[in-house]
Amino acid sequence: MATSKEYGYQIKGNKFAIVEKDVTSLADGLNYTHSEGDGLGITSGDTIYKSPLSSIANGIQLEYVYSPEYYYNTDSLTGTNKWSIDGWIIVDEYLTFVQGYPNGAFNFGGGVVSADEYILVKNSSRWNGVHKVQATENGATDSSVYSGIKTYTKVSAANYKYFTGDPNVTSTTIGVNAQLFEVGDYVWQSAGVTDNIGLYRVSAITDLGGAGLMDILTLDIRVHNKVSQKYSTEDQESAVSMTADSSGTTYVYQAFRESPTTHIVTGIDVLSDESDTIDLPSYLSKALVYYVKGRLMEDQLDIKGKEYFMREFQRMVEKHESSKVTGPRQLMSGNSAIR
Amino acid sequence: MERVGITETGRAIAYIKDGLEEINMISETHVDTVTIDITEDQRIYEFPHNMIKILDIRCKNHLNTKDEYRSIPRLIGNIVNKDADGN
Repeated sequence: MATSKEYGYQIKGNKFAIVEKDVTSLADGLNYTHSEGDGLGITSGDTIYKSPLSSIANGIQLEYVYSPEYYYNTDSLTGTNKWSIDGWIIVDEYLTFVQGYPNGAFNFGGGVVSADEYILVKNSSRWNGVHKVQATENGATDSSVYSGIKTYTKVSAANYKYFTGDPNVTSTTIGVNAQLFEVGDYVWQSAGVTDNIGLYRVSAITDLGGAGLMDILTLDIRVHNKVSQKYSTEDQESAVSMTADSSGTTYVYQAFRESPTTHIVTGIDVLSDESDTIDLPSYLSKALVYYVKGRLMEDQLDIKGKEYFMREFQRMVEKHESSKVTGPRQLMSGNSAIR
Repeated sequence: MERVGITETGRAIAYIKDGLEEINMISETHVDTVTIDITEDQRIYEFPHNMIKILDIRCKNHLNTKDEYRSIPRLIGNIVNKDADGN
């Protein structure tokens, strides 16, 4: 049986912090420590909030509102317009999605999506929403620099770990610049032998010397699609068994693994001209007309006109909101209410 | 565009996008849910790229042992126990 936990959150700028109450009970029952030499200190337990005490798969569920600036067929079919992704990397400061296959990377360039088209990312911990494709690279060739879908979405590459150089690959190891990666990192290897292209986890590092020399990364897990279902939207892991390689060039990127259900949807119709469809109820479409009129009035410095149209916009949106409420209402008691 | 008497497509689209955001700020017409892994000792997490407004943050096994997701409270005040990265 799972253990009961107690979490809380705080907003930190454009991010949020999750903390967990450490309910470890100490013998003295105090929420502070005190010793003659050290003075007052923070206890390790007894209702102190701290960073999560254990890893939980799919532990946080966020419910949020997004803007429908695109339209897509909700009956997405796996292998037709719905494709799994294992993680993302940063290429030239641009967000790039990658997908492993048991023998090499998935071929995103093979008719899945083309440059300047849009993809919709779903179930990602960070990148949900629409992204414009800059280029795709066929992972089935050994000259692929990144073997994935490169988007126009900019990502800060500060402290990003990346290596390119002569390949030094054995069955379970890759050689890279010294002191780049850490145990537990995921790496995406591209180019070199085609079968080796994929997402791996670093399990150990052998330091061969100081800066400028090589470190040997030992890899223990390879993440990829299910062998029997090429387009599966659930990835799986297997033991690492690469082909030895020491010629040409290799590219090793720090990779950020996504959840097994993260996928992209292709064939996205993004609002770009008059022929596009806006996924909005017809009543709200009329409200939207009022909004645009209001903004045009504002541009012409007709504040009276702007106020009129914005008031109509607000009125229609609120009327639409209340139109969904029916029947008697009842207040629920909270979970801490007295019985 | 004909209904508002505007001929500049780019400007109209920009205003339509603003309007869609405004509608969703007032009345939640398009809601999505995403799950994120909790990582031991990692305190800071990213909001989804396309988020306009957060409706609820739930955690698995919060005050229950049945693997249920329950809403977690927003904590006011300073947490004295800092993370390794200073947060």
